[in-house]
Amino acid sequence: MNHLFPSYGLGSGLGVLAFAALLVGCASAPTKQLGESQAAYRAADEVGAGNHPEAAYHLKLAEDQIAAAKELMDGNRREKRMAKRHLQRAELDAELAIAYTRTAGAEERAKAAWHEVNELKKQSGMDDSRVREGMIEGEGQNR
Amino acid sequence: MQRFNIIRSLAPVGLALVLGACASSRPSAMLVEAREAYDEARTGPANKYAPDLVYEARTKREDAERAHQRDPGSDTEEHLAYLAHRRALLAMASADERVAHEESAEARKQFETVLVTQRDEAMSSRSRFQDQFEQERMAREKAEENARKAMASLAEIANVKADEQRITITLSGEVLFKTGSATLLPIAQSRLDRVAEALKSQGEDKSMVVNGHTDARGSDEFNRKLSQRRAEAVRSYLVSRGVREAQIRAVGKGEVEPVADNKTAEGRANNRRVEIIVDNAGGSETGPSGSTPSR
Repeated sequence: MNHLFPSYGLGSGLGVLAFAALLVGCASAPTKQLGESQAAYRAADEVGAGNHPEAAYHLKLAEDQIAAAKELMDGNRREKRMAKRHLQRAELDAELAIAYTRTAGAEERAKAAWHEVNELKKQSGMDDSRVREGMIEGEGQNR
Repeated sequence: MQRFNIIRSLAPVGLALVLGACASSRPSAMLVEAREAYDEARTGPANKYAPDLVYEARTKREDAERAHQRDPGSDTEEHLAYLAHRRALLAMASADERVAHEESAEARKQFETVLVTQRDEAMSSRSRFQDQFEQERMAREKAEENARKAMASLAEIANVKADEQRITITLSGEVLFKTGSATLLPIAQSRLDRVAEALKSQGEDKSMVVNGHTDARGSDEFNRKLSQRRAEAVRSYLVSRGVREAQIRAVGKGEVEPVADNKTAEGRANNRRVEIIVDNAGGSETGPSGSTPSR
């Protein structure tokens, strides 16, 4: 053995190990990203993203991309990289599904609040702002 | 010539290279979408309500643009453009949520305002009603007090009896008419002036009746007619002094309701009388019936 690496000391040996570890790291499956994307997907599902058309669309995209990533995760380096990209996209789509769900909820609450105002005004003959209800309806629906 | 041929043969290759370069430098559809979404976020409410998210979208877009510069049409460009696009949508969705929250807050504010306005109006209306009620009550009390005083003042010239049902003012026939006559004496008129004032103070909603009574001397028929004429004379005078015509009737009772013994001169004098009855109960019978009413 000694004549094979006659002039290499301990430090050089560690360097080789580190390089090997780097190579392994580059080619490892994106399990951390998978966990993050799946967590985001579950959160979107739990807030009811499936009940709002726009949010449901992005929830489905997230689901599909997580599934696609799982197919690629154990492949070669290029496939692992693709898997990671799928997961990054899935995480953002899941976040977007959450955002759309929250927005839809807030808009529904705003609409209900204006409806109450108009009902109250009607009771006292002050009905002059039905337009506000119309303004709330449909906001955030055309992206 | 050979050189010219070489140039001619290379020309299509050069053209192809140029065209290829142009084609590949075109941004991917995803990058175009990302640019548009970012511009919308930057110029819309997101710029105000979610500036940090707009900034993130810009950073991602710049990453995508650099990838496009480095390697146009590459997977990396496509991927980074996708992330940039979603970041821009996130910024806009977040801003929409904030706008909706503000709308809710504004609605709640308006709700409170309308409630307060309604409550103020109700209180103001109640206050107005209470003021009006109080004024009416005071006016009524004053009128009642005046009526009571006016009636009390009649005690000097007539016998006044009052209960909850009626007020009876009895005037002696001696001071109103000559014996056998239905013409009012001059002294009667000044007394009846005071009676008229007292009656007017009772209010226009009360019905009144003037009952004429005689003693028992003479025939029943004569006495009834005389009492009727006397009652009418008193009624006409009172009406001439402002008592509403529709409010007061005249009835000749004759001799049938004596209040004293007709066998003595004093008793007969008491029986010769005119009673003016004010109905406090509101429109019920103001005296025993049986004689001819007159209006």
